[in-house]
Amino acid sequence: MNTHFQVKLRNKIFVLIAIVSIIPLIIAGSLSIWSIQTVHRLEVANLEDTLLNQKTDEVRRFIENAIDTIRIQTTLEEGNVFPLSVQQFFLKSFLTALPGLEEAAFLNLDGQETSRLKQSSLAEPNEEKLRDESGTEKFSALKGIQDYISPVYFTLNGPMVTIATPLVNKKGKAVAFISGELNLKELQKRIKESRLGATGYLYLVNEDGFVIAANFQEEARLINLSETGIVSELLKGKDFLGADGQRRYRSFLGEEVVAAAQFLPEFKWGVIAEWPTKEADAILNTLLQRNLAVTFSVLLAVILVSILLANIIVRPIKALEAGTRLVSQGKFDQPVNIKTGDEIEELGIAFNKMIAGLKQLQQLKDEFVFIAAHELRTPVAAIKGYLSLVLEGIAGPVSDAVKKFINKVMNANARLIRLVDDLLEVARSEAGRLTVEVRSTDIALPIQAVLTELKPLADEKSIEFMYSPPFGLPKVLADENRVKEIMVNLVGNAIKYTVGAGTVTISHEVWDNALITHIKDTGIGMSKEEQKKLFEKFYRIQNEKTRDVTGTGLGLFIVKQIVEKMNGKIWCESEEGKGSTFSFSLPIAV
Amino acid sequence: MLYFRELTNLFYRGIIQIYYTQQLRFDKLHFGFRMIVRESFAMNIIYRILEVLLIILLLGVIGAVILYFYPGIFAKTPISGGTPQNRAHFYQNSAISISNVLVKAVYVVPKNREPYSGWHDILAKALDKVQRFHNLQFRGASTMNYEIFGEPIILLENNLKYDSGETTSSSPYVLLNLSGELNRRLFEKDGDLYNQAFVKKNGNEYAVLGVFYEGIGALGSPIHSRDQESIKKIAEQLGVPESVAGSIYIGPMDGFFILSREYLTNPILKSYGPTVLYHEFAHAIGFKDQYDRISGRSFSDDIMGGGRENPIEATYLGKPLLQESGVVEKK
Repeated sequence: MNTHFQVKLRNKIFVLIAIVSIIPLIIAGSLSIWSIQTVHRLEVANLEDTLLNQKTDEVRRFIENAIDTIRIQTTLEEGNVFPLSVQQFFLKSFLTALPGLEEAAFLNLDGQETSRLKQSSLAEPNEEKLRDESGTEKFSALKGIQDYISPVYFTLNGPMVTIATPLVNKKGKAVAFISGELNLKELQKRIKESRLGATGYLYLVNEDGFVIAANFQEEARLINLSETGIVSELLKGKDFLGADGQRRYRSFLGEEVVAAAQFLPEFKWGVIAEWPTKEADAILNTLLQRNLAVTFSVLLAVILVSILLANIIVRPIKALEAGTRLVSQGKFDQPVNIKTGDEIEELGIAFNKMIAGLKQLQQLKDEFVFIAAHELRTPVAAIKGYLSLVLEGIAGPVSDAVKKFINKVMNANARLIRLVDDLLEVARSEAGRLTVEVRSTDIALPIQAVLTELKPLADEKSIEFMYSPPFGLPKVLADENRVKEIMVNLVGNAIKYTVGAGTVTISHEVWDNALITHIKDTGIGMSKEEQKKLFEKFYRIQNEKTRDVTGTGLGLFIVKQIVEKMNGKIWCESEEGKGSTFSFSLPIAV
Repeated sequence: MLYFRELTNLFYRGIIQIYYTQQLRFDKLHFGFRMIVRESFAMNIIYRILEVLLIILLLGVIGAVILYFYPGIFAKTPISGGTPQNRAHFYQNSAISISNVLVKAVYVVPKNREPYSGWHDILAKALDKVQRFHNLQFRGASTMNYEIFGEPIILLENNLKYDSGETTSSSPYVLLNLSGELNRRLFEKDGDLYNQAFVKKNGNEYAVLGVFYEGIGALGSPIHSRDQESIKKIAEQLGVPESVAGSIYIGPMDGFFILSREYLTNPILKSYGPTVLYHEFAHAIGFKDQYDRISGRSFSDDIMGGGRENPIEATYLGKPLLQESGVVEKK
């Protein structure tokens, strides 16, 4: 089969099915992953935002509560002050009500402290040195009759802020100021108790990026975070809330985190929630892995099914193709068996009907040829007989000129007889009526007989036969007469296709359980293309060198049929201008 | 079962097909590569391999799509930078680094006084607190370490030679009187107390001599270079009265402070003794008082102002000071 083809149908179908199935699978898989991821982002954002809202509320309430604790109203007129004992009473009550308040003080309108009390002095009274706070930022802020919250300052006792509020009378005028130093340990405690999963951390930073409170290890709290993560942007007033605000980065602790943050503008503080993705995305990873596993499994199944379907679709087409190949070889007795229940099965049925019709036509043709050849054989035999009688002079003297014409008629008649004989042989073969009587045969005998018979013909062209059968040549299972027919054809062809003097060498070799006989000539040889058609019916090599060679084109076809009938094989090797070697094998007789 | 049989059939058909198609030729593989090949057994293997590669390619595409959406694989925002470290500098002078501060502490006793019993432990305890305070305030931008000279330094003269009656205005007289002797005995190689390991100063260190004096006195100051030749100019530079400026030389030190031992042991003073210690040390790294010495009016409540008499656990360095030292960004 010399078919040049581009893409196998099977592969086309496979690719098409695969594409049609895989593209939606990819889209569906991607959408599914995207959906999972989006939902997960929203869930994480929701969780972090809830925690941040809760904590920012707590921070606000804590500070507001502290200021409310030290806020009092008075009926005093401007210029009057509480007696020292009253001041001490109030200061004591502030410190008692708010344990986080380390110290508290009254200031007059000039910024001078008029009384001061420390938490430590509650149990053990101690006279405190009063300060002049008139030059401080705190006092500048209080003069505007507003509450004051200082920037956070960090002491060894913990982060602290100064809170202060004016002591306002009923006219809304400040008569004094109350200030206090508030320890933020309570805030630290509340932040430390915060939980974001098992590994998430939450921290509160001041306007400079210093950690006020956190639920991570103590050492890390000393780090200045103003230039890390999202802190610098947060402290400029930007919130990182919701799915869009969520950020992923490597935290200052070296972990990949998903973070959210909220700014507290009134204090210029920020609360940041950072959740290591290892935990935050754990469920997502599980879902994705499952999704991935299902996608890959389906994908694999799609590919396997595609291959299977492609083969199922192609199989009947291949059967049809095999059927057509047999038809091209003249074999009409092998119908295709296609059971697909669709148009291809209908095509198979039509194909079978077609080869049945062809078979019938072939039988008619064979019968016609056989009858025609058989009917022709009698008249041509009669012509041959009578012409012989005429030439022998039985019908009277025959001039040389008449003899010459009659000889030509006899030669033409002889060719006609050969054609008729060949046609009959072909017809018998195709009708399965080619008969061989196989028996154990010494192949050298028919070969030598044929060589003797054809020697005059060879001598005419100065062609020498070379044949020396080896001693102990095994006998073969063959019909001796048919072997002669084979040899007459092959040796005859060798003589015919040798131009001028040459040699025809016959040799044997044993291979496996067969005896191979080679007939090698020094003739004109033939091309590869010609060799392929050599054993076809009516094929004759037509070129300048073979123009004068006569023949029916049936000889080698018949030889092949005979060899195969005797369970042998025949083949040829040839090279143009160098000669040909015909070989046939016959089974060795046991 | 049906599929299994089908697959088995396909396999054998494939083998048979390979056998019969050894002589086949085809000019294009199904992936579109234009090539003339002989479909031999080997080609069929290649053909199968290409098929597998197609499958792998498809799987790869799907894998890439999935990985793209996989959170954490591709960071959606840039990874942020590290933590700013070691950037503290002398007050209002970024050319002088105070990233590594080393206090070299000595306990000096006038000849006519007795060393205080247990002075070393008292001093170490106070310096420990001061160190913790410093490291907390500077948040890693500056770290403080200290060394204590192992023995008390017995001065060559009586206390009257060194003491000053005026200590409230950070009088330099104690140090002026002490400096020559300390430099000669402690920092010069032929000095009787010379100890190379103690006086050695690494290039990147800011060294401060801390003198704990068995007498009266509490002050601290940086030591400026000699090219500021006149006392008047030095006083102008420091923004202090000329009466409190002086010229001394103490080995390779960048600053000094003096503190009376009384601040660490006196029952009244010791509650804020470490605070005073750090206050004076803070002068050595350039910080100025945040109160008026005469009126006592505070300009801040931190350790340099109103908070200088608080216990060290309850005081702090104010933000303006940290800003001027490069620890906190100015906004």
